[in-house]
Amino acid sequence: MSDTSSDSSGSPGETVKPCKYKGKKVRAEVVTPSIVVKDAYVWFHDKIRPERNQIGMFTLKAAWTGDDLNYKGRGKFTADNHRVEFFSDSRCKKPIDPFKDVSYSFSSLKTGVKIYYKGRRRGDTELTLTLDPAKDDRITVEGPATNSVRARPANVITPKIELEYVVALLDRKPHAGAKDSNNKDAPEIPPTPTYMLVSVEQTRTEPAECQFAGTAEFTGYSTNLDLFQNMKCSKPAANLDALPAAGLTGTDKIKLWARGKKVSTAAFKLKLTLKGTEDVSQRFADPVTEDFNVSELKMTLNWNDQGKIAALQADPDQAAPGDYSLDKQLKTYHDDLVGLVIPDQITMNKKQKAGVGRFLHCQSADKSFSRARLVVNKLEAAQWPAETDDHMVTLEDGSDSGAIAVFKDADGTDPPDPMTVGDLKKKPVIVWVEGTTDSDTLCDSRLFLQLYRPERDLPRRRKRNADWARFTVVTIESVKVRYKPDPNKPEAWGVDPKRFYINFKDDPDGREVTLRARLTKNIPGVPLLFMLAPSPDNMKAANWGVDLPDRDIKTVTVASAHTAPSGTTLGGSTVSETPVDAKFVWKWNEISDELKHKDKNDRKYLVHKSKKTKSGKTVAFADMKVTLSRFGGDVFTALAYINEDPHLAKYVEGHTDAGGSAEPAKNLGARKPRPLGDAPSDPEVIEVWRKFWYQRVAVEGFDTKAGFTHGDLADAIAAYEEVVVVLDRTVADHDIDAATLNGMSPQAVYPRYMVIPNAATGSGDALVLSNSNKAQFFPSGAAPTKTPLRVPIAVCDAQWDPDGNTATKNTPFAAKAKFADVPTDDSGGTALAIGVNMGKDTCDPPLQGGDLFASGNYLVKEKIAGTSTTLAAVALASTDVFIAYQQRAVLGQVFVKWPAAVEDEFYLDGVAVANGGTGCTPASIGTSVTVNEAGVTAAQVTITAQNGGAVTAVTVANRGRYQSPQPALLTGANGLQLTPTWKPVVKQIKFTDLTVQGAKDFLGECQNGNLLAVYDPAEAADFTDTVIHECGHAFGQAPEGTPPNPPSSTHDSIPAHPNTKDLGKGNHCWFEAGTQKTSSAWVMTSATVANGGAGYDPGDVNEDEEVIGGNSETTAEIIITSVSGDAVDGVAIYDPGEYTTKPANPVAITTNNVTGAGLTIDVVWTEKEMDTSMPAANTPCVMYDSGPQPTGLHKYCSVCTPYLLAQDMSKFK
Amino acid sequence: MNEYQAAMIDTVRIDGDAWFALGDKQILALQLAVSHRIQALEPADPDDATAARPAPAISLACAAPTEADLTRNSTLPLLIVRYSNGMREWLVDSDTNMLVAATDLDTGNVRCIRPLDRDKRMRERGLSASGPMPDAFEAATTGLGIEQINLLGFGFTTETTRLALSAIDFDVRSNVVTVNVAGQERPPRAAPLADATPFVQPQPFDGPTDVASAALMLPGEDASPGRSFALRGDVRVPAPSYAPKSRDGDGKLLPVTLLFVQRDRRAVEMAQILVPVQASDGMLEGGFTFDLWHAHAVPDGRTQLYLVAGSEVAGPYPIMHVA
Repeated sequence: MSDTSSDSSGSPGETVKPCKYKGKKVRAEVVTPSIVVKDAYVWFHDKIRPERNQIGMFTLKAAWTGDDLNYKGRGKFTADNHRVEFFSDSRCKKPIDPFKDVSYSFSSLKTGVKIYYKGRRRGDTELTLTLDPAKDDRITVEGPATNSVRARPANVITPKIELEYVVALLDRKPHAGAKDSNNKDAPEIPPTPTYMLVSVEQTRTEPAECQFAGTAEFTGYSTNLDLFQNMKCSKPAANLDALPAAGLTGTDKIKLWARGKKVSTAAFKLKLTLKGTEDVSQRFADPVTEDFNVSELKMTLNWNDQGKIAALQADPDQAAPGDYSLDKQLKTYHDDLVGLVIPDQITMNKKQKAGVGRFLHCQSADKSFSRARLVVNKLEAAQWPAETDDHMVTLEDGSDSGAIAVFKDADGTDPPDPMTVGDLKKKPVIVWVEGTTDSDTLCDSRLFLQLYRPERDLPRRRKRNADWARFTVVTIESVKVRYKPDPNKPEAWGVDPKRFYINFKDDPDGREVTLRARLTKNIPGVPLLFMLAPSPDNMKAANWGVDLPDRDIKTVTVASAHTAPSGTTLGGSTVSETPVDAKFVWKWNEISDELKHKDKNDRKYLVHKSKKTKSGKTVAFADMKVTLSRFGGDVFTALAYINEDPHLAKYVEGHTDAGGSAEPAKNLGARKPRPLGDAPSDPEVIEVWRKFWYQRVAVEGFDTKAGFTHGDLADAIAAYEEVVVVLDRTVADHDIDAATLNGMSPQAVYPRYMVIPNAATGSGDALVLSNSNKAQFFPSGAAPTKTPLRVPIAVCDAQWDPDGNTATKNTPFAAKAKFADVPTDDSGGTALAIGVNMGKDTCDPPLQGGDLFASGNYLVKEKIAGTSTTLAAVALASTDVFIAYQQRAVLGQVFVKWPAAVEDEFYLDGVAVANGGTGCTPASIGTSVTVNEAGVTAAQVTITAQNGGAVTAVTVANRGRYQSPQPALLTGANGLQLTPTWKPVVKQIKFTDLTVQGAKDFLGECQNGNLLAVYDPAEAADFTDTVIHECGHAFGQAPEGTPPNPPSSTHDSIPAHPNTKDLGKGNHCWFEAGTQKTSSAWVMTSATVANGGAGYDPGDVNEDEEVIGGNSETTAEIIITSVSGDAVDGVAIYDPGEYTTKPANPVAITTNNVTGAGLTIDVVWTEKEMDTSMPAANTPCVMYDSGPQPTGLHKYCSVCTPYLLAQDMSKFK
Repeated sequence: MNEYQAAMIDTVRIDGDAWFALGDKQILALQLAVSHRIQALEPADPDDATAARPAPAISLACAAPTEADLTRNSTLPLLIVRYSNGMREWLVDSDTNMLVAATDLDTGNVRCIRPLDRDKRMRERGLSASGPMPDAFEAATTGLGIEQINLLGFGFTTETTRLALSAIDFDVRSNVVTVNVAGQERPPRAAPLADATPFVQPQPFDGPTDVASAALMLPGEDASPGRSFALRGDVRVPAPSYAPKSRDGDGKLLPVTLLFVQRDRRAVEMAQILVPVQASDGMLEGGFTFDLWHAHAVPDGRTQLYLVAGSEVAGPYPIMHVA
């Protein structure tokens, strides 16, 4: 309202209207009307509080000048419209209608008539005051006077709230409470706030006086919302109780950002109320309110239930009832794995979801890795007004680094179906989250829920971060064996591709392998699990060379064991179906875990050993020790996976679904953890190997195999290669120079002929190693640390050990004819001697030192004229026993000389008188005459007749004893000459108590880690056999197998080796060996009289007779040794014969050249081997206990092989 | 026991600690002494022994200290005394075939060793009864050998126990000697629970009741698959300290071991069966039948079967198994 007054006598605004008589001299009266407008306008509003319409006032006036002529006219007040309404009182109670006669007397007018008015309609209103014409013409009536007033509508001020969304997202503060989590320093990520514009609307802005100058109060939010001045919500909204007019009326309005702090269960009202004094020019509209909601969008992220998963078990070592075969056990295990249900993923709590985060392995092309289950929760309809039903809810990747993708299914490739609020009011939606790009740091990847509405009036933003979860997407870049070589020790890994030598440390330490898994990024704290996946060929011939002996292993010693059909009744009992060899079967479930690979805390557990990554220089890594199996030949793939891929714990290399399905759940080989190697596509493997070394003992001056080369051991190297052992050579030989050799005591060098059968004299020297000298050939002290399992190999021509004395031999009497001239030495000398097999090897000087001869006597039995006499025993001299090296049939044969003292002698068998001499008288008859010819003892004759003094007949009184040449004529006294008939004294020699020092020869040994091996060029293969064999012993082969079959020495849990027996001195293997023969025959080894028959006489003694009956190549013969009465009472074997079919006892005998008949004998027949060579089918294992074995395997047999594979080779036994 | 064996046993008498100081000289002296005793038992030499071969002859004995204190001594000696002629040596090579069966009298378990073996790779000796039969001189030459064995070198326990030892040379066995071994204290143990061997049928004891004894009866000599070959056994031995107890009740079980010895077969098949027995005067006695086929250890060919139960050894019982 204006307070400007105007005085008008014409038009409004003019103060005085000029009188038309002005200037005349005539004194007259001039009457002049005027309208003096005090309030040129008034503010009004016809609807909003009209009582507050402004009241304007103007004054109707009339004035006179000149003479007072007493004007009597009236002034009429009119208006040209109804925009205002007039009142005569200031309280506007007395309206005036200017369209009706409204006039005022001049006198009133002279004092002024105040008219009040109010606005009714916008616009000006012309006011007119018209004076009545004067009746006195001296009176000049001027006018009419006009003026105007204006009605101005008041400024209506209306508060206004405009909403971007009708909801604000609840700030779920996911990070709250996660301060001790993986990303404790990460900022909270609130949802995008909803903005709202707060303003006032004015119906007019001019004149300035009517503009809104008050404030507005924003209310209704405080319970549910936080309001901010900026979208970042960094500036809390201020002065909400008095929002300034400038902001409210400004072009930009006041923008408030609302973030839900408490979810509303129903819409609440935001209210904007104008505050301040309402001017007359203003009208404040009522407060405005808007319905609003704080709504919650929530997702539930799942992770694997590690507790339950840790409890999952599938026993890899379980025998199926009735079938303990490995294949069955593995199938059972794999079936169990297939059937093992990975527990459903469980809900991560708020702290876990935002603070710890969910690990995901970046997906591979073969889709090996799993997805995280995520649930977009069902919405509370009360929180979401209907108009939000069309709002889209999406899951967005908010990763700072890395990337994740969302899929409809756990395995498929379809994206999730679109989600609206309306949808989510009905049901939750499950989606699956996959890592697609690695995160740079822990929890650096994030997935959030977003709300977005269709386009409407206000521009809208996507409401991000309604809820969110953190992820860490990782990739296991590589899995490698972490092995740091020690320059002073052999390298277990890295020397030979794929091979890990497990025997360089004590078992099981040597089997420990440190696997290092590296991530692509430097992200600590990622739980990795480490797996050793066995090759499907483990325990199979492909890797082992033989199959695990899990059934019906072939054995010679028990191959003949009876396997009667099930149900056969034997001895009143029913034969069980248990295979007879079951006790030798390696039941995988019974083999100790100690021998098996270890990558789990318990083999029954599903999951493997785990360790979290730690930061590295460039990428994070985790190291884990796993343990390889002790089975040489086993092959493992080392793999790693994260704990959120528990399905990978089921990975079985090479497994396929028996039904051909590629479905990962059934095909345990379909999805694969990260394997060892630089690239998953080219996985590396670890092969379990063992290694040891040999060191050549080089002896100067010997051209034996002491100079052997690596190539000479090719067969041994190959044999060990077959049982997955590397036999390598140390670089340096152990040299024995000639001076050292020659200085050894006892001696080590013998003439070859002494120790080598059939070696010629002059064939050189032989290196002979024995218990007495072997220590001098081997290096002392510990093996070099670089080759700790070192076997020095000393090769010799013979290995002989002292073996005490031989048995004491007693020979039968033997005539001189049984003795032969035998060379006594190299000089050509001979002696009449007979060979005696002493049963032990002999050489002279013996290895023990001293004399070969230990004891011995001889007895002489003389037979003179049918009378035998055994003389007293005479001690043999040591020189009587010697070795005729070139003559001996066996190494144990010595020769004993015909005693020098036992000379050929003759006795007087008869005489004839050649010259009777003289002086013989009848009285001389019966007298004895000693013949004069010298003899050992002189003969005597008795004169039995004389004639004329001449002796005519004599008999032998004393046969005397004469040595050659015995006299042709015997002479006695008185010229007696006799022609003698001589017969030799039958002399036989019996040696008694004959004992010599003996020895025993061997082919090799390995004791205290030192190996001796005999090299015989004629048995070259046996050299390597010996090396293999003795090295085998050095490592505990062949294992024990003592009935009642305790565990083998390989390990307690491994059955006894079926073909070995603990016979005390090193077990051996009898695989494919034994006493098989190509042919045999029965020979007579004992004959006794069954029936002596009749008619025999002593003359039949010494007659040989043949056995009757049977089928023979050679007929057996006996000799009649004695006859008693007319019956034979003694027989002896003359020829044992060879019979394919032996005659039954009593056996009839021929009667050639004998007087009697009816002799029968009882014969003991013995099977004789007809072929002393090993038959072709006889192929003993190299661990057979003796050699050479030309037809042997020259390697470990199939029965020994698994024992070798399982053997602890970290040390020599 | 024949007179030869008796002479051997009688001659080899060694007192106390002398057992543990036997050297080559002492062994030789013993050997000669035994040889002289044996020679005295030999029949007169035939006029011409070289004309014909004698029948194989062998006698076997063993001797050991009755007490062996391993806390004071480092050996557990066993002497094997072997007398044989060349015919026998040709027929059965003792170096290949000699066995010692040792019974742990505390447990009843039996193990066999090859006492003449060494810790070395032996040279193949060839098969017995192969090659030419020895001539009459060699066949008639007899040998008396005494081999001193240190059982500790054969992996025998060094714990306190009692051992019964006997030597076997294919079809000949020696006397049985027992040794009380004093060594490391044997861990206390309970008699194990076990089941009688399946198919062992208990029978009334049918042996002498006043002495320890063991005997087998075989249905014959020839055994072939598919035909029952039921052994009848009777054993009476002092109760082992740790004789297994029947799992089914209070009954005692006696480990009885069958040895299947074949000529030149280095391995010895053994089958232990657990026989239900009765306790009687500190002894365990019982009879049983058992079909040989259930032993699961019957090798092909000619076999000498021995039964070992405690300190008793019975056999040999020849079997000809034709597969």
